[in-house]
Amino acid sequence: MPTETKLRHSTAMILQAIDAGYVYGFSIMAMTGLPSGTVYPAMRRLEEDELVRSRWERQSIADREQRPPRKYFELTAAGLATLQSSRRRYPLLERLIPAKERKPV
Amino acid sequence: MTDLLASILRAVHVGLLRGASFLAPDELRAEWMQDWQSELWYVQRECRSMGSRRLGGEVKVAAFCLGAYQDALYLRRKEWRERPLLNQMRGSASACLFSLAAILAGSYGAGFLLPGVRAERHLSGYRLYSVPLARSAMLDEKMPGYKAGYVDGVATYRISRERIWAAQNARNEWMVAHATPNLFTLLDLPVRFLPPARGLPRDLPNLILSDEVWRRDFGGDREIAGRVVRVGLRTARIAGVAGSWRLPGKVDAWLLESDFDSGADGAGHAIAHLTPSGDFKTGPRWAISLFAILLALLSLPALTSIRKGEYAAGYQAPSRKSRLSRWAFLLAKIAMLIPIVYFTSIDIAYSCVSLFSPVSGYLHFACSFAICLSGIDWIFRDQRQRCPICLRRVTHPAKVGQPSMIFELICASGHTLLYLPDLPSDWFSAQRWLYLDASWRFMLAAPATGMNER
Repeated sequence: MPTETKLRHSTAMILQAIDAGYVYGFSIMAMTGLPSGTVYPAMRRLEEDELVRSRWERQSIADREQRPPRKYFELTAAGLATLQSSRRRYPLLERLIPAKERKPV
Repeated sequence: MTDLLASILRAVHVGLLRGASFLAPDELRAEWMQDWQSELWYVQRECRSMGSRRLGGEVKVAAFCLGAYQDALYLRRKEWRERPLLNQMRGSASACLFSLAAILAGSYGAGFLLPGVRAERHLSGYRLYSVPLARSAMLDEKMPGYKAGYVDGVATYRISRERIWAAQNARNEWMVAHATPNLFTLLDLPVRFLPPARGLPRDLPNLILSDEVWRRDFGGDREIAGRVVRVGLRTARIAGVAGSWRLPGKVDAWLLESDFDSGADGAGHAIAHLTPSGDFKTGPRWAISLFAILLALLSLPALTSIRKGEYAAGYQAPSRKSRLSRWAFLLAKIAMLIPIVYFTSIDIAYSCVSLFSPVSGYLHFACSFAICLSGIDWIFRDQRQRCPICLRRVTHPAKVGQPSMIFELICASGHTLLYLPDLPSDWFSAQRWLYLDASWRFMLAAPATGMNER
């Protein structure tokens, strides 16, 4: 029987933010208003549970734009399913963090 | 904001991250640091764009960096959780004894950091009495055992505000303790810059300065010994500088007078140095704890259950070796609790109440009693929740919330099942152990899975 992961509201907000297009740590912090000490450990836990996956931006892209490379996050299929159940549990989630227009990463 | 200040703040932010990185496990530290430094760059860029609200931005950056400590701690805890040795230790008897040993070491070590407790240790073997020195007869009355040979030395002092004429006609007012000449030798307090015994003429009384006055009024002059000052109506010669003073009263200087009149008017203090037998007779600190522990043991059955809860559900019983180790574990916990009670109650009593205050004795007693009572209660509750075979805490629920209102907990190693009645009845009032055979252990080999709240 598959196990269901119940998320706290703050963790559900982080998943919603990633789904809404806020795909790196600082933008998630800015969007959710959560402190860094909450966001980064929560994202590590989500990654361990395979609800999100991360990848480092290519160095060449960062060099071209003269900035350090970023670590991008995206939802996995399990993460998307968990987010759907979290939206049922927290109905205001989508209104709190609406999807933004996605730019190609 | 100047560039210099900006560079300093940037260095502080990186320093905060560097400090946090030491909490992260070694093998992850480099990537962790890269991750946070990269994010810091974006946070700083965002804050630089805030213009006039720059200070608020810098606070935001600092708050961001402090969050790194939580992240690094999360990684460190995760590493600990995944260590097999720590997993084995969790809930085991050795982990319990190790925790008690850590508490014991902490309570003993805390005494060295708390000034009141340090003083109490330093002055153990002394008794201090606040007596009206106008009635010198009170000395004998107030000091039990003075005549019985429990005391081998007495010094007295009285504090008064005096005008001081030091060098360059500078005039100050100090709190001066007029004392008998043996005050410092009796207390074994060190005096700095003390000249050799024959170095100074004995024509004048000796004045010993406090460290604060020496620095404030004499600029820390190391050649201070021998200088003559006027203290009120008397002339005295400075003999040295004393270290820390922990007896009652704030004192700027001590005037050691060979003709100190303990019969003069005014209240003062008398200090008696106790002989070893006198220290015992007048009640050492450990006697207070011992009495409190005995009282707690006597009152324990009225306040909590002292059953060890070793009732078997069937005819099975643990081996003799298991029973012996269970007893040894119980006695070891009690043996460690006693010094914990002693040191912790001393830490509490003498860290917040002034030395030799009668309140400290009562507080010491009350703390000893309370800590002992709660400690023994915990020891028995802990003992009842430990598997009689492996002495691990039985924490895995096997059945919860059934109509029978009986809770079942199973040993993580599969040795025993513990039945706990939620509503004790005539036929089932105490917990019972069911000893499981080896066929149960395979069920507990795989880690448990279930609903997770993340």
